[in-house]
Amino acid sequence: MKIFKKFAQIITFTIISLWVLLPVFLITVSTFSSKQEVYKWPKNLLPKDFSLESIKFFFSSYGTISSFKNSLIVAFITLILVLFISIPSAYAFSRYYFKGRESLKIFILMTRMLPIPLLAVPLTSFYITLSLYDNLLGVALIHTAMALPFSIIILSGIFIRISKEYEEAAIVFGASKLKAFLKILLPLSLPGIAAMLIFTFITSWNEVFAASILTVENRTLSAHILNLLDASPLYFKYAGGFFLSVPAIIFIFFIRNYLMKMWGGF
Amino acid sequence: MSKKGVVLLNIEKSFGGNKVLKNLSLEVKSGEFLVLLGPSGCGKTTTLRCIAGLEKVDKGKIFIGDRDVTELPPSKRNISMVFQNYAVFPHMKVYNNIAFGLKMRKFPRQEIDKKIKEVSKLLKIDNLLDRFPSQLSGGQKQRVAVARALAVDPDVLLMDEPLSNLDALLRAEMRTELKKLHRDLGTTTVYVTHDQIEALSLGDRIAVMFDGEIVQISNPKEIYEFPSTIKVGEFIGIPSMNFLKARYENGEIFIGNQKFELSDKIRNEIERKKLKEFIIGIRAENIEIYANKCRGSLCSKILLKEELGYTQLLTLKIEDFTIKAFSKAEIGLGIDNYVYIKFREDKIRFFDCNTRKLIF
Repeated sequence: MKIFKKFAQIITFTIISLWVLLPVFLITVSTFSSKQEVYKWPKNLLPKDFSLESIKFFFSSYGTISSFKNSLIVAFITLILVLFISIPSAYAFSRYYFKGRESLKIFILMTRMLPIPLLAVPLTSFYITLSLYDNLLGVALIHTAMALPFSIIILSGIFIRISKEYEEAAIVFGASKLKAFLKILLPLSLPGIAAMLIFTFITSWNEVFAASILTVENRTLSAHILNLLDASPLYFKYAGGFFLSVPAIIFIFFIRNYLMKMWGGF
Repeated sequence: MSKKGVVLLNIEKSFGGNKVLKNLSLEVKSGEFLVLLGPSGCGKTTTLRCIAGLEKVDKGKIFIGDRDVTELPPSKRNISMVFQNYAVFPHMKVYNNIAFGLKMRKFPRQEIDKKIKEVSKLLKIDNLLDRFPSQLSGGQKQRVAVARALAVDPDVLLMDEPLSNLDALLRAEMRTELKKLHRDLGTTTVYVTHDQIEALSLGDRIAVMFDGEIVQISNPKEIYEFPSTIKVGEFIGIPSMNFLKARYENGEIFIGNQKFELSDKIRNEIERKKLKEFIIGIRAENIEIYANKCRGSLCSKILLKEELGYTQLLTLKIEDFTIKAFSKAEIGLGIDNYVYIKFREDKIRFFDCNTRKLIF
């Protein structure tokens, strides 16, 4: 019975892993294959003739480099905004008791209940009146709004786990509240903050819908690829998919320990 | 070492609707080691945090030396504190932990270095300065916390159950060491604990707290021998003080149906105070146990016998009361047998039935 259970476990995990990893693997293989290879069937498990042709084509096609740059700029602005908003609010949630704290927490999460497609039309007209339409700052703002709820909740979870005694000790030994925060709480929560920022980066990097409806010229990479999807050859799609998914996978690989600690280690 | 006393005047503090400190006044003399002792939730830690400035008092005043610090933040009070869970900063090496207070006070670098060498030698951690707290044992962390507290030359040193996280052996060792440290340095110290042994062995004076009030403040010997209320007598000492209800009738004292013979001196005192019913308090080591009936003894039944190695602890039933007594010599009698007991007269305390306070 025990062996059967173990066996079932292995099968389940294998299926789940394959389901997640196989597409990524195929995308990667196809990206590094030659153009002709991409159309062949059956697929090879390893690129037969390793080539950077697809990647070269992808980057030389019109708009790719600039959208790549746009994606980086949007992600960077989003990171800065999230950093400066989520740290103080997470601090307040974790260190102070105030009226309506719990409802406010839920309210913050509720902002994620509304799907972006539902908001598309009002958001676009609103952005046009604010002249944020087709503007990278505008995209960064909507990405910030999308990433903030989770960032705040994650970060206040991290702050709560760090004993208040440390800050109190710092204060007793002559530090101001701000200094206690900067010298004690901030360095102690640095791994968590880093993980939160990477989560934010991926949110922004991969977000496609809002970026697509809010931009025309200044496309981010994801919006750019989506826009060209119907009109582009297969190897372009593969290279695009590769550059969209790989940063996320690399980041998650590096921060998975922190993520485990944050969500599993309470 | 600077020495300053602490005065708390009519302190009140509530959390929500819960009154934690009720009009509390306390004076800690300069250079004194004062222990705040009480069960958990009695407000002793809150009192300490009010002195530190980590909690703001609702009412009352706090003085350190002759300075009114009631409205000052912790950083301006020149106090230092040892926390229950050490609160040694995990991301700093031992050296920087001890240096923290000095750096905040903007001491020059050489002076910080000198000071750290001094206190780390004092606490025998001079070989650990280069380590991170995660590489230290609990006892070592405790030493770092104490060193950090002493490095800043505080007017008052506050300790919040500093030994409660150590194992029994280490706790006894650290206790001795803290005592020696205080004797050598003479820093005014306020020490919070719920452990009466710590309190009795460390304190110059002990303030016993129940429900946000100080019920007795005195030296350890006095607190042990003359508890001001029945509750204090129950709380302090292992085992607790024994209490038996007695009455005075026709010039004689009775416990239940047994006549309890006492000297004229005590009888006169009872007569003079016009006591009818009262409670007798006696500690376990002040009860003498005999196998045979003798003059002035009370008859009681053995309920339980506990071997403690150096002595035996007997649980006895006398009339309706259960008491505990140490028997110095081995008594050949087992459970359910009857023994005869006498109380050492100079150790008997009398308490009021209603107020439950010490009469004499």
